[in-house]
Amino acid sequence: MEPFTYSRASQTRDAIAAAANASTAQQGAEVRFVAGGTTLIDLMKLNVERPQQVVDINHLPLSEVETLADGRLKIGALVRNSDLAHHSVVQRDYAVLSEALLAGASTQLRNMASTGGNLLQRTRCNYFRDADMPCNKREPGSGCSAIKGANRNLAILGTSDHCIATNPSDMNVALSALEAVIVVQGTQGERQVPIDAFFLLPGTTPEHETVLQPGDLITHVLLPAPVKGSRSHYLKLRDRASYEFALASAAVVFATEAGKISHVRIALGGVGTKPWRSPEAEKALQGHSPTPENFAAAAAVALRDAQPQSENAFKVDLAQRCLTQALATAANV
Amino acid sequence: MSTDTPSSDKTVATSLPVIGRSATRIDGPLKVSGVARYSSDFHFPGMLYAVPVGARIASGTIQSIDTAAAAAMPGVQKIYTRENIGTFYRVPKSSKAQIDERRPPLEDDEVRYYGQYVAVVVADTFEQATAAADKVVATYAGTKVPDVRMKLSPDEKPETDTERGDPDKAFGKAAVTVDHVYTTPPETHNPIELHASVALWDGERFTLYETSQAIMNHRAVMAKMLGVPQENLRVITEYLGSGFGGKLWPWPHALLAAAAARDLHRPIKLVVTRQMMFHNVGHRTNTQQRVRLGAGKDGKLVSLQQDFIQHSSRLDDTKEDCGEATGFLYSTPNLRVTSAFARRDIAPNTSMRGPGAVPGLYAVESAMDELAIALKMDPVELRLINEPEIDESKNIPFSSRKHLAGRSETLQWARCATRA
Repeated sequence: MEPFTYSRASQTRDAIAAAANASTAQQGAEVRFVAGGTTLIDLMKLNVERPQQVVDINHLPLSEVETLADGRLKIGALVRNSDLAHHSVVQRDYAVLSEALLAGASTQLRNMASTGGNLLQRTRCNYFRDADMPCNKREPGSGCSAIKGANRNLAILGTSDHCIATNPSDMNVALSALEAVIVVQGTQGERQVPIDAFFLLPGTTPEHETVLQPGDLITHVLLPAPVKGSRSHYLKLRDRASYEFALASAAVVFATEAGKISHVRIALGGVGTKPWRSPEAEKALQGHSPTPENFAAAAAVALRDAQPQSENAFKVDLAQRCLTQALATAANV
Repeated sequence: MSTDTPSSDKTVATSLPVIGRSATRIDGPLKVSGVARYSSDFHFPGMLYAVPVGARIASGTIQSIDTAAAAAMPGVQKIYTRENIGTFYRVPKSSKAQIDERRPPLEDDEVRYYGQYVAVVVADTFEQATAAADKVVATYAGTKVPDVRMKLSPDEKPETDTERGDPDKAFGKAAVTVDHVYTTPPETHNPIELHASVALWDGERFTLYETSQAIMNHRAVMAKMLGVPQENLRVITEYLGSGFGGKLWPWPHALLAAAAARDLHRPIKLVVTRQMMFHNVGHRTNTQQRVRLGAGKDGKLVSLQQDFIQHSSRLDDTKEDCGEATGFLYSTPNLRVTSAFARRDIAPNTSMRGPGAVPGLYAVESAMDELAIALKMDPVELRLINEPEIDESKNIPFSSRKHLAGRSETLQWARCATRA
């Protein structure tokens, strides 16, 4: 771990001003915000993150969950994963989010981890986390060790020749299916970014994971008002039953009218370089009957463009079965 | 040993104050309240902290070690490499003193496993030593992708450990056969208490606070390797935060701490990091076991063969004896157990609870289950059919042996079998 300075921000604008001095808000940022610290501190100990300055944002007033007049839910960036998972409105109207949060990490980690921090959770790719190995995400241009290495846990969707690292978050998958909007405050004021546009594909610049710029602070996450009559579900498949990242997961939001699917949102986890929304699979189901056959067909569409690596071809089938099952559960068929 | 005599046990128990009675562990309250002092809890005036630097490759040669940047960091007292660690002596293989990594630390420039110590930093605080250890830069030559193949090289010949009858012939003629390969992965002990050593040197005598399951052996090994008479070396282990075999024999960090104490005349504390616990303090090695069983249609075994390969480090030969129990497990006239070492670029292996038998029984008993399926026979029944009268590997009676017959009611086996 490198020595760093620590400061505590008491106002949002102070935090933003401190971070605005950095040359990047992506990999290699000289200034980092710390909330729960469950990702950042680990990576600092591994010398993967080497910030010179750490700004503690835990005292900013961003810990509220609030239902807005128009029915949307406004979640503060510092709301802890445990609190969000057990929030009565989340449990009632956004079950998929509660289920996803509770499927992640351990009780201790969930008690610490924040909503904003979970959005920015870093990949578990072993080569990213081992500072002795080449990794384009950690050290641009050094090469990808995973493509010809141990890649069983890595992505099959959204990959590039430069990076196949998986976004590990469960919460992000649920937020994608819920079409969450990320509220960011920066030096130029506030902006709202739909979650699908918030995350970037690795392409030739895997060190750029989000649209965040120096000084940007995630302050809230907005969820659209719940779709009337909808049901939602998160299904996570992993090597052991708890405290493990997904090999494949699926978040679905689902509603029917007169026996036909009237609303469906699908996102996959454990298989994509970012939380993987599948509009193609949604389109395949929209207006059709909620049958197991249709679900399986939509799942095949979702994985149509999968590019498996040497050790993770099993994920193509696994993700399809996962999604098929998640849809069946949400549809109660 | 005498035979099983449960009735007389009872008589004895009632007349003794401890045996046969429930007793509260005297260390329990101390351990859970934090009063118990583990090895790393000992502090002494003037104590310094040592943090080792591990090799970042698994196979190759150290070309140079640049310690300049690290030496200039705050609090750093000294950095040791092969150049200045001082002399260690080897424990000969003929010695009764046991150590599973015989090569003394920092002895040469060869790296034979990932994480092998290449230097050690001593500083005023643990944090300073850790930060400086990060800045020690070793450069390597001849770095190779580590060889971790399980397949034996032509020069790695299996040895026969146990044999009776003609197992090949009997297997060839058997009515029902099973022939499977079973593998077990490497397993690390990693108990809650990290391995640690606090070393004191008064110019003549060492006092070593160690995480040791065997302090007398630890003393014998350390005295030998440090070159002092045993009476000048005291090993203290007040409480142990679990060992599971991983703390039976000394590991190189203890020598590094002692050598630094000897050189600096200051107490030295060295606590192995959780990461190093995976590389530097032994593990149960991985195994590959081919098991061949031959039986008659009545389920009676006619042949049992177990051929196992284990990984070992390049320099050591700690056997994970998967065939330890095989010779007397079941009655069969024909049996052979062979073993082979696959010497690879891995750290030395060591004892772990149930050494040998645990992975060995897993393979043989899995094969027995496969045989039961092939025979369409109850797996407990299959074992009872093959229950030996005596230890057939030595042709001597068992001192005690309890088979499943008396336990089947406890197991509710019939109900399980029906459900399956």
